[in-house]
Amino acid sequence: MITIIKKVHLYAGLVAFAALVVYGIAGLTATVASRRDGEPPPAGAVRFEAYTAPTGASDKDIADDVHRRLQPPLAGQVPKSALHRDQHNDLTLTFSSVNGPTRVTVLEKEGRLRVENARNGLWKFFNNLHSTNRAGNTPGLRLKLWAAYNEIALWSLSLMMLSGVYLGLASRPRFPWGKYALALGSTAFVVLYVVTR
Amino acid sequence: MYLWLRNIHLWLGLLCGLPVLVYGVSAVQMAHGKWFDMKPAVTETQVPLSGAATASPRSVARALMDSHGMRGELGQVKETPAAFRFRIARPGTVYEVDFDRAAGTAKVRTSTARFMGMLNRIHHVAGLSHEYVLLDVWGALVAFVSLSMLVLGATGIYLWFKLHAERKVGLVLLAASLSFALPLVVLLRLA
Repeated sequence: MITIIKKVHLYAGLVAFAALVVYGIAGLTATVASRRDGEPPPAGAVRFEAYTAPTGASDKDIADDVHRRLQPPLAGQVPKSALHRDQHNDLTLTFSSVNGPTRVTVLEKEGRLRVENARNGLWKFFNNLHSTNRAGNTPGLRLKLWAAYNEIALWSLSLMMLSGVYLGLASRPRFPWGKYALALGSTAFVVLYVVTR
Repeated sequence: MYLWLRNIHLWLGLLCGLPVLVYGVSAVQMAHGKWFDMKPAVTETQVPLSGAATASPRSVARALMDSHGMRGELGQVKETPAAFRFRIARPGTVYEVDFDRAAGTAKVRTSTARFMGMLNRIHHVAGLSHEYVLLDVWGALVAFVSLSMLVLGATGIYLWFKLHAERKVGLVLLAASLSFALPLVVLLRLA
């Protein structure tokens, strides 16, 4: 039994290895990045493009039309709930991608688009990669493949942890520090959960 | 060296076992939202407030925390025609407070997440510079577990490589995983 579980643990870990590194980096990035939450998002290169909104189109129609026209890489359409107009009543759109947002302001009176491409740093990119899943807005084959890998990795990771805990307890009965570590980690987590609740 | 790294791998893995499993389960919830009922329990109450407590969003929040047991971090403060609106939030519980200065009342809408909703919120806590100390504790846990995952990955690779019997199969799996993931990461970054 232990031999089979050892293999499961090993194989699951090797399959999920790349994702494990991405998740580790993402967690550390989130730890550091949240310090900067108060700062404005990174500015990007700005360009203007001529654009005339279709007559009688709704904000969502315009957003989809702009998306078709600009085709921002790795970014899906803007959901209806994320549409809004600024203080000048211009429609503002943010096409989010793992590499950073493309922010567009539809300047209808001027007949043009203001397009700003911001590029995230590498660490933020890894953080975005870790949260890319099948439920999200994943246009393009590359993102779909990554979301599929993430799916496999998260099941592998869970399997690896479960089998690892079993192995830690079953295969090393004379290693008391393992039991203490499991008790300490689990108790701390449960206490924190209850106190937060 | 081998024994030392094996013990670190074992100790760290068991220490982080439950937290990593919880992150795994909440990641499954996020990837498969339809599998779970995520509707929070919602209640609404009205709280009368007067005097100095009504001067600012922070003083209203303080009064609600001190006298009405609300806990969490103040955020999303917005001015309204009646006065202001804000949130007090902690993982799993959000108080949306709408204060009306003329009426002297704070309308409080409390959303309490169920178990999976709570795990989802825990998954999203990060950072060490919160006003609410428990968020910092969760943030420290995230940092520790993240660092541990990197150490577990590195020590795991070393321990596998020392197992001669598993080298061939392991090498195939690792090569398949890396040759799929690494070019994909590069292609995504270059897009």
